Amino acid sequence: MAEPLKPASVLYFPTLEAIVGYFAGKNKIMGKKILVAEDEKMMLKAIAFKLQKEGYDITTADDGRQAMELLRSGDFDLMVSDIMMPFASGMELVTEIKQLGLKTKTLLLSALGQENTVLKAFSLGADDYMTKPFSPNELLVRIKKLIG
Amino acid sequence: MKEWLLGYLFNEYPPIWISSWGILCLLTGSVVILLVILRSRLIKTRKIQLQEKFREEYEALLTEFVFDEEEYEVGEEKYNALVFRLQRAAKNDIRREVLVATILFLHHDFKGAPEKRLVRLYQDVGLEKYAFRAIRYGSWYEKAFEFTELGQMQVNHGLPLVLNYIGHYSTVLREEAQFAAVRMGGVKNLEYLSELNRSVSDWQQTRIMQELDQFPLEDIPSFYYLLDAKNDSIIVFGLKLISKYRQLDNPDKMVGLLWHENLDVGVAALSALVAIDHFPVADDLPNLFYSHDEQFQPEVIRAIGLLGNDSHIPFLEELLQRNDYDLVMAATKALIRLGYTLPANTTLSSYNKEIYKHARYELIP
Repeated sequence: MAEPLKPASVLYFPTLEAIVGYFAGKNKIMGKKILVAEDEKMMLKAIAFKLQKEGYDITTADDGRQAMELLRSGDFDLMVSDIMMPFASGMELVTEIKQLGLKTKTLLLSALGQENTVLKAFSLGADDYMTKPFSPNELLVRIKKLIG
Repeated sequence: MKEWLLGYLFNEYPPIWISSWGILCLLTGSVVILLVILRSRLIKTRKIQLQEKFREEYEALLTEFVFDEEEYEVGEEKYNALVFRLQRAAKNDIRREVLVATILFLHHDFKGAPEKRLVRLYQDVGLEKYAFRAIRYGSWYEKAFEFTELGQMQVNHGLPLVLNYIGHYSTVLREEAQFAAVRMGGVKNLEYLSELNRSVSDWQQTRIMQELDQFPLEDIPSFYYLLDAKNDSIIVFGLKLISKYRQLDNPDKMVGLLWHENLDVGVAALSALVAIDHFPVADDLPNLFYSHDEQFQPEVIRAIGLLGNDSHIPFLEELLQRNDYDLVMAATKALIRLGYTLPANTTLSSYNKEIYKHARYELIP
């Protein structure tokens, strides 16, 4: 017969290992740099807010040309980009990343009915995509899967 | 006033004083018009500036609200303060316009928790009462916009008001009200369609069908009741829905529609019967073939190929002899689908043999 549960008689102190592990996990996210490229300003602000809140280091670009310049000058772990943008599309950005030999992962955002474009983006080397409208929590899960 | 001007205005010669007064009126009128234009321009510029200012304010506020669930927990102090602040803001027309546009935009682009939080906020702020007012007293474009707003924000208690417009003479109002009714009350509100006298366009049917994709399959009712509608476009729509959801409740009702005087209804009924694989109808199809003109006949033959059996082969073989490209092509495809192979000693003309080869190549490349 199982013994009845007894109330805890000692206080629980987290081990040093647990404390280090906790901060290491937080730092792991905090060190990650993400470039968000989206021409719809409200969408851009919303995504940036959500990711910043999670502790990512966010840089934003509101058109393809700006995103291209930032990609060349910065070292990003991930680029979250809309496919359709002025000056340079999300696919052109993916091509640029591959041509520059960057290790930046790419997650593309597409509107419904752009399946062919998405397939083309994958063939160019995109790592993941999401269709608008999307759940911000799902976006986070996918980002964590790509860059931790 | 200068004497020379008075001299012109009160001159004894009518041509001079008439033209003087005319010129004076023209100049005064121009100045007044210019002032009115300048004033309206200033008001418009000010409005745009305010809209921009409020947009930035609400974008930041709503983004924070939507994505910071812990901070703005529904029912808690900070949430209530936000609702109170927005209720006060909503009393101002420009602020309300921007607030609603921001809520709708965020609601459109994000799904999951943000979607629900925005609907809750919209309803708690009481923005629907302004929408109701605009529907009652606003101009047609305001009404149309409000239908979209109420539909998107699922203000279900506004449904009776929206239903007043589903048969409206204005196409825009009618279509927006119908679409909003579906969004607000779910699929149950398709019942209103069977009462409609005006036809529902293909575009509107497609919109409604697309919206129905949002509902779980278990909530989708049987659409056979739409087949009793007096409006042919509703019957066709009902058949499309039955076909899409493969509903098997009462196929015989659809068989009866094959002989409908409106060809569109007949074609849609046949497509629906094919979609639900209603094989018993195959025996009626040769009769249907002879009772319709050449516009409908290839469709009937195609249906025989999909629903028929070996007993239909002689009928189709007879059609192979015809001198009509569409019929021969359709009959050949139907025969191939039924597993038929053209015998070596066939009496077909060389032209029809070519059609046969072509159809065979299309189906079995």
